[in-house]
Amino acid sequence: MDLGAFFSNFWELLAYDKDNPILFSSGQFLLFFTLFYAVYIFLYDKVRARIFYVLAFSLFFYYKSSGWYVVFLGLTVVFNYGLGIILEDKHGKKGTGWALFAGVIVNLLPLFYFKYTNFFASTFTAISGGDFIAFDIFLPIGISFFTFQTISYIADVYKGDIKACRDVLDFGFYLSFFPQLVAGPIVRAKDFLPQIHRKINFQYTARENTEELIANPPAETEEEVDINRAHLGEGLFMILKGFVKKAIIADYIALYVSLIYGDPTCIYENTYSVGTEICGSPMGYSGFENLMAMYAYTLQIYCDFSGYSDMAIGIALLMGFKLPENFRSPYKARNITDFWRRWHISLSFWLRDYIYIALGGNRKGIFKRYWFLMVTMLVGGWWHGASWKFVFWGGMHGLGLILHKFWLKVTNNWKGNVFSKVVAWLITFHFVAFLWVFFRAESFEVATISIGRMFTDFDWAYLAPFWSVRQLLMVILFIGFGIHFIKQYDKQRMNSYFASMPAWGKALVFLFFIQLAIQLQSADVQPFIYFQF
Amino acid sequence: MYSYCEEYLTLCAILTRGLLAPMNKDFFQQRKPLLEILLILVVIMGSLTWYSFSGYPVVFDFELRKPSFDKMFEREVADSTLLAKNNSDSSQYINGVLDTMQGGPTKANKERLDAFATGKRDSSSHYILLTGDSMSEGLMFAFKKYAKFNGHKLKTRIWYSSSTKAWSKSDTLASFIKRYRPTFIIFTLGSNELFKRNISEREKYIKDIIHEADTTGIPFVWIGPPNWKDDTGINDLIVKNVSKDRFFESKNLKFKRKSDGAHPTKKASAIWADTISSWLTQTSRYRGQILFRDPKKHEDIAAKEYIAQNDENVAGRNGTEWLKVGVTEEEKRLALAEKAAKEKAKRDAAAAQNSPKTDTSATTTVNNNTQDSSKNNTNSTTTKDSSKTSSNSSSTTTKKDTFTNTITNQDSIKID
Repeated sequence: MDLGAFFSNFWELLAYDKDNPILFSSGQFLLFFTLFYAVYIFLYDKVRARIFYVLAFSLFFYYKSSGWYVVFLGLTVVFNYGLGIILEDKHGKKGTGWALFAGVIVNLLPLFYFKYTNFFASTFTAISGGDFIAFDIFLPIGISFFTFQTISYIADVYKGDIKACRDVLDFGFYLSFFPQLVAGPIVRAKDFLPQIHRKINFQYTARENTEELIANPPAETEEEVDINRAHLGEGLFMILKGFVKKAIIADYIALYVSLIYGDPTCIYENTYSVGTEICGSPMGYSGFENLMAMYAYTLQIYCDFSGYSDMAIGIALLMGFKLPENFRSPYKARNITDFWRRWHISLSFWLRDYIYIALGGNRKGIFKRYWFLMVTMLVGGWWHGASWKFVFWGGMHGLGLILHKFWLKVTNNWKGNVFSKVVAWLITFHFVAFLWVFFRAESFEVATISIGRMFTDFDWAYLAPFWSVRQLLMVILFIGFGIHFIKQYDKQRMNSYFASMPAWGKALVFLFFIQLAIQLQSADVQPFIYFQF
Repeated sequence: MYSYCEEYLTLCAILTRGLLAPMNKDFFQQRKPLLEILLILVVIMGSLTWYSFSGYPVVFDFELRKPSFDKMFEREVADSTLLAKNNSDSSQYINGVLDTMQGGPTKANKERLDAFATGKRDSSSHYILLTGDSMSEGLMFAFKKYAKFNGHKLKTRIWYSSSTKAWSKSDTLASFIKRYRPTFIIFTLGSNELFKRNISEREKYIKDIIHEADTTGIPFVWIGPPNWKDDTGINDLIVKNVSKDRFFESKNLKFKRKSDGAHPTKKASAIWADTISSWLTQTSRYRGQILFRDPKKHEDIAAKEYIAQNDENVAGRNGTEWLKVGVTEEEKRLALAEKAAKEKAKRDAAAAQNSPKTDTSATTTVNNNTQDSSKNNTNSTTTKDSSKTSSNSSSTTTKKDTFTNTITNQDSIKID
């Protein structure tokens, strides 16, 4: 054991590595969080020290994710902190609206530059004719999330919904809080700022009351919050749940999805004397495999996204902070409106409050309502990615929402019977699943090819050989969807059972799933007999 | 001195009491649930670290893979210096031989050589099938450069997570051969069976795979798995059945691995490919039957001239000699000694009136497909068979006899 090498490697680990940004599911985060938590235990009850310490760690976490863009994050904090004070001091006075407008534009400009420059340039060159060469712009991780957070903050201050934060450290704490910094949930200032100075009481209570304790959220007032052992156990369970979803289910399924749709980072080569094609293509796979890829990606994106959110919520809870729920079994939805109340809840509520309602909502007539819905969803789609296929995806969801609203109006809010509910669920699920193909495929064309093959080249005869060569994938898909459809009550019971386990039991469970993730890390998904290059 | 120490100790005690004062029973009682969480984290970290360091992985019928926490205690694993050294030995020697040659390329040879260098196909190029398990993916990236530089076509077919059993039962190799009609097969398999119990049961599958290749008469080489731990016998089984001169043993090579701890990184795979190519062209049963020069090392004009000189007599792609390069260790030493002597003679001739003349000439003639080496008619010695070398492994510095080549040409090559 070379301790010198350990310290040298640890020192290197502190540096930013573009190829290995820090993730919640990584070993380096486990190491850093353990060290962080060891000190946090002694500081948490000293408010100023806690703020300073967590802020410092959050900035370090962001540095590990995006390098020196942490300076950009700092500038964002300072700018919006100052703007919030100005908006509050000038509240009701002339020009405040323009200050808000300018603030929103200034907040959006970096987002537009980093995320959408190539989109605008490629669109412009496509229209004007010519070759487009992408600019090499590195996107700061999480910029979409904290930009929306800052916009929601200054909008709330402008409306008078919240008071402006008068301490730059507090505001920095809110914006850079590391569990939710890079992948959400998008936290509202009015929900989080009051938690910063709150006294946190960690209580060690008997195990027998675990179920009851978990069923009741932590008792909280403006001044303090009581977090007991059961709630901490719940936090650990959220982390475990998120880890299983992200590092086991999503990462394994991604191997198969990449076969069909290609690795987004791969390069297609077909040289004269080599004849090597590296990227996958839906054309090379049967309709059945394309259909399985669609289901697989449907599960993958949910597990990936919600897994990360779960880990964020769990980590925050371990520190005594509450983050809002972000996913609520979205694939159980029986209509698209319900889907958007369950999927990425913080984003959909943000879009509702700051775009849909701001435009006018349902107060300006039925057709304008539909128009506002469409605009909101187009923005939502575009927020997800800088490509026309995301805009299309958002537009289709907007259309789905409009059709649902129209359906409710026509049927007079008909509740339906069991059969109709099943049909409604099937339609909603497949509507969402088919649209995920556009999300994942390299381009609009590839997505339409994939969907086309599902209908033109489908044969149930592929089921048996598919099962024979990809059993593990099928099992994981089955388990993933099965867990998703477990009743909320049963999930709560699993949660309380885990929380009531002794410490060694919890550690063993974690070790089991971590080892499982390590095993699957090197596993390959069997291509259909062979993988073609 | 004593009073100074006493004061110092008193100060330390005061400071310690001050720091620890808040840490009374209530302090820890308040933090009990947090300490429990910390304990869980520490136990997880400790367990993973302990298993990283454990000498033997836990094995059922599969290996319980280890996390890579032990890498934190290692200096950065360099790519195998053994491979790099061996490759540089090889290129140094070739450059040394080239320096001593006379004559220059003919125009026809130059054109031919340019055609090779630019990868344009002609009748002497091979259609190489690279297939097997996921280890061939890393090799593919390197071999495609080799293929392009040497004027071959490379087709890669990878069956991830496959085993000898799967290949044998599905007759996949036979179907690939039938479909693509390659003229050379490079096969990688075995990584997914390193820890199988009852490994002897796999022998029949190995035999079957080899049989599928051998019945076609196509040159077939098997690249052994790059072990990350000692195996239960798969390497021995393969070499027993395929023979040493068609099996490249990779198990002793040291690789920088990807995060899964098994697959070599792209860079490590490139060096692995370089070593395989050295073995293929210098030691394997098919040395001379395939042009597989390292593009990184053969771009200088001297190399081109040498190749051009020897390409005149190449007949075609089916089994005829392409190029055999190299001499025995003895010849190598002699050639370099002669070169040094010649240079010394020139220097002496320039400085003095009566410079010694070296009247050494060496002709090396080797028959095609022989296991005997060339003869060297120098003052010193005769050469002996060199081509029977160990089947691989440029992985160990002790095996210097892996660097053995034979020069083939109907004309003699004079080394002055």
